[in-house]
Amino acid sequence: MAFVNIQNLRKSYGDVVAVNDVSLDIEEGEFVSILGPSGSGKTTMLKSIAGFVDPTAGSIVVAGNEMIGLPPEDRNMGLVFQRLALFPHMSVFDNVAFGLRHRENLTEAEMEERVAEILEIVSLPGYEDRNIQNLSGGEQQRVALARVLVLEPDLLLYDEPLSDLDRQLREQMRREIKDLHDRLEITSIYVTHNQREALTLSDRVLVLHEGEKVRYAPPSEIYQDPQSKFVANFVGDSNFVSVTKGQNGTVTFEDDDISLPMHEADADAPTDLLYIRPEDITINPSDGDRVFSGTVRSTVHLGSVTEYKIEVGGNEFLTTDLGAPKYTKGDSVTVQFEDYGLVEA
Amino acid sequence: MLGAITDYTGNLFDRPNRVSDWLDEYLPAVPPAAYLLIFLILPILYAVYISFFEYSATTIISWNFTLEHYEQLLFDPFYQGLLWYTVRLSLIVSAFCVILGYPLGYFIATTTPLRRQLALFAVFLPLMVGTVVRIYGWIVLFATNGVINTVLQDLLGFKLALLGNTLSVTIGLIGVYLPLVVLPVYSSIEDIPDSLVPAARNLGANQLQAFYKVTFRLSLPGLLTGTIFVFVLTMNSIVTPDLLGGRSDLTMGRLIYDSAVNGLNWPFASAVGTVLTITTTALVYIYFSFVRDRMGVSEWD
Amino acid sequence: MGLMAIMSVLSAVLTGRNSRSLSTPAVVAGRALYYGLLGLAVSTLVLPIIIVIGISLNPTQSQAFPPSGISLRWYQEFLVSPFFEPFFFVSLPIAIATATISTILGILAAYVVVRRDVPFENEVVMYFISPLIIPPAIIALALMITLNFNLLDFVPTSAKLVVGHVVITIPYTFLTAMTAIESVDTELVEGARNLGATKFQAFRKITLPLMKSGVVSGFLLAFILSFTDSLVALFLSSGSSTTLPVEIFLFLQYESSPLVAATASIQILLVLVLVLLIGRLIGFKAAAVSS
Repeated sequence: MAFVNIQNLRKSYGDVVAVNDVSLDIEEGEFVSILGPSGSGKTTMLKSIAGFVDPTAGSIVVAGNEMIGLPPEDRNMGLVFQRLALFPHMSVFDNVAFGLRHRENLTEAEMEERVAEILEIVSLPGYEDRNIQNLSGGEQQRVALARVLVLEPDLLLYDEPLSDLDRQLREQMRREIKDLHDRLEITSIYVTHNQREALTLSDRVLVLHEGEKVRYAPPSEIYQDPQSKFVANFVGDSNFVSVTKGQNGTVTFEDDDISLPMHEADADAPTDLLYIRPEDITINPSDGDRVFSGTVRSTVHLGSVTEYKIEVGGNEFLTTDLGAPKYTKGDSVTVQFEDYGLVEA
Repeated sequence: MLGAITDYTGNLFDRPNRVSDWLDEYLPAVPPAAYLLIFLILPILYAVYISFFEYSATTIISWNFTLEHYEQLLFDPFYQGLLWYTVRLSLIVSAFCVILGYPLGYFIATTTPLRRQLALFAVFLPLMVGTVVRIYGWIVLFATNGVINTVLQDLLGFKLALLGNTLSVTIGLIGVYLPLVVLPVYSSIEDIPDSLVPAARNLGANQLQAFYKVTFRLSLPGLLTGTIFVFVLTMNSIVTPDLLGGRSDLTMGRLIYDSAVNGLNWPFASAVGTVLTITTTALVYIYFSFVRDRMGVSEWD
Repeated sequence: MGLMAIMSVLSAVLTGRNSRSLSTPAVVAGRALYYGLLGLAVSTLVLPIIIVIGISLNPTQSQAFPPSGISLRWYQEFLVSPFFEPFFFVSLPIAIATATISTILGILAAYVVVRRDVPFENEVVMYFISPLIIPPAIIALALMITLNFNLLDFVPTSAKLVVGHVVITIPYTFLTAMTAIESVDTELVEGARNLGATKFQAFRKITLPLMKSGVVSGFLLAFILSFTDSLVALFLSSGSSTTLPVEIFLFLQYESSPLVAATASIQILLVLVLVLLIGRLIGFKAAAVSS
């Protein structure tokens, strides 16, 4: 059995089903993200694991022990909260030692040693007597991590801890969380609505949509083979075109005479929806197949890249190109569809 | 502050299903709930109950069913007049509390922070010092040899009977209950977003229209709450009419006090309380429906 | 709808400061009316209190205002007066007992309403603030006929007074506790539980310390309301267990003297200090609105 084994987890509030029969295996030391838009049930799932929500049905086994029925204080899990939940009326030391006082029987000296050790690990040495309110956002994040790491939890749970930070700090903390996981290898579940965080941090990503498990796979697999329109759209951007399948291994755009050769893997796909990632569309290629003519409809300069909307036949495609705008509205261009695939609608 | 994205989550704990869970969830609220049941709800029901029994000079209540207390209260012209006096007094006091209280509430909501603090203090302190202390202030002001009459005597050579009449009762009650209009009015005006009046002006309303259509409309719930409190409390007032009023300024509240404490006629006092409460509730309901229908106040808290 | 007209004029006056039509007679008149009403309202509230304090400073038996001199004679008299005992040995202990019990009950009720998923939450809140909605005269009468039941003769009057005062103060301690508990982020409680604290430990170590100012304010409000109550006490007081406001009430039935003014001033001073403390803790607005 996997280290974390969640079977048919279900949570309903009256008629509203927040989590609908989700099953999940996590190996020891793995870092798994639960990714989904708001209302997808990801926080409900995390809080069920931590013991703050009573699931309607299902089981949660961690390190061989059933968690359902155990109060939160008896589950050896560390939870890093969205708003961090540092105790504002306590010093850094008392925050970090809070769990030690409740979970372990240590002398004051042992406790001081453990706290000093963990503060060293999160690069806050000597911060014991600092006041929580006087710490910077990044320092508070590290205290929140230290507070749960000091207990050496079986499972580390993150509830969108970076969503309230500004972009720069968020990137930095994301790297620190990654480093920390690489060093300590504590099994982790990371809830987020930010696909970038999910893709860069995780070994595997669980995509949730309206309480249902849509996909559970490593990030690269999810990105390259989204399988459903929801995932293709939520994880990265996509252009979608309705197509009809031809006999000779091609797909033809509906309302259009554009045909593309179909990938072998898609031969049996029971669907008529084609997705094309913006970065898989090249403007004015030097040569090659699958080149069609189109007209630039809009140009938006986003700094390092430029975003174009290009009309090809009856469809408009979003595409990006490195650098400053090279084409303007109304220009005639050719586009090449380099890669694409079929997804379920 | 809520995070940027919040999932659909339940409360900290979910609603329990079993009896043991139920106890575990709600046990802390049992003592206060039981306390109010035993010392508030049941005593009131008991009072209503004994109002249907005869009074006995020896045992206070003799357990013979009767409607005589209610007959007396509803058909005896003396008691009819007394109820009418109480209602009239309460209407007048409520009206004056609105006229004096609304501007003050508006002032507190719109003035500078320092003045707001001072004004709030000037409203909150009187509310807290207690009725008797404030009434004593009015007594020395109105008494035959009181502050006003001394001035009158010195300047004009005569005195007025200011104490012991309906006027002094009215003034005293306005003073006592004025904060109850000021505070909710202030609170509801302060809750109006700052941008609404400028927005109304921007859309073509003049100052008067903007005030009437935005500020006044949105402060109505506060004004309603305040006037209802003043009305209900005046209907039930005892101490103020007793100390500032004359023998004829007998309110229903004083009748309750006299019958229950001095006369020890508990069944009759309870009947007075019941009639008073029903009348008050009915009048408040009429007032509330009127304001709701005419002014379109849909939000009620 | 005459009222509306007055209000409209008032607003014109208030916002008139930036108006170009500042000099129109109607606006000037309206403005005068507004400030007139403000002055009248403030003096109605403050005048009695100022007069009481002024009269207490009179050196003679005369209740002149302004006082004919400044003396603390009546404050000395207070110490040997019939008001001394009700102040210190009746009202004070009753107010302390009331505030303590009421604060505990208020926190318990507020904790469940705020932190647990309570069915019919609005109705439950209404239940706990019902002593605020039911007129105090009715509460006082009902308590009197119930508590003066023959079988309860052994219960001392002061205990009955505490029982009654707890009833009328519960809404205040309940509402301040509700606001205070709501201000403590549930994530903090979950954080404590996640770190191994039980429900009770989390409440004691996290929620309670963080809601401290709300708890103290509720306590002080309940104390003041009990100390100054003249209505429930009027029905329940008897003999040596007569509270200060009732003692003054009964005294005023027959006479009036600067001694009453001095006693009342001491009460005003006490309340003033406590009100300032509440203002510091949670602000007048919060305190005033919960009243």
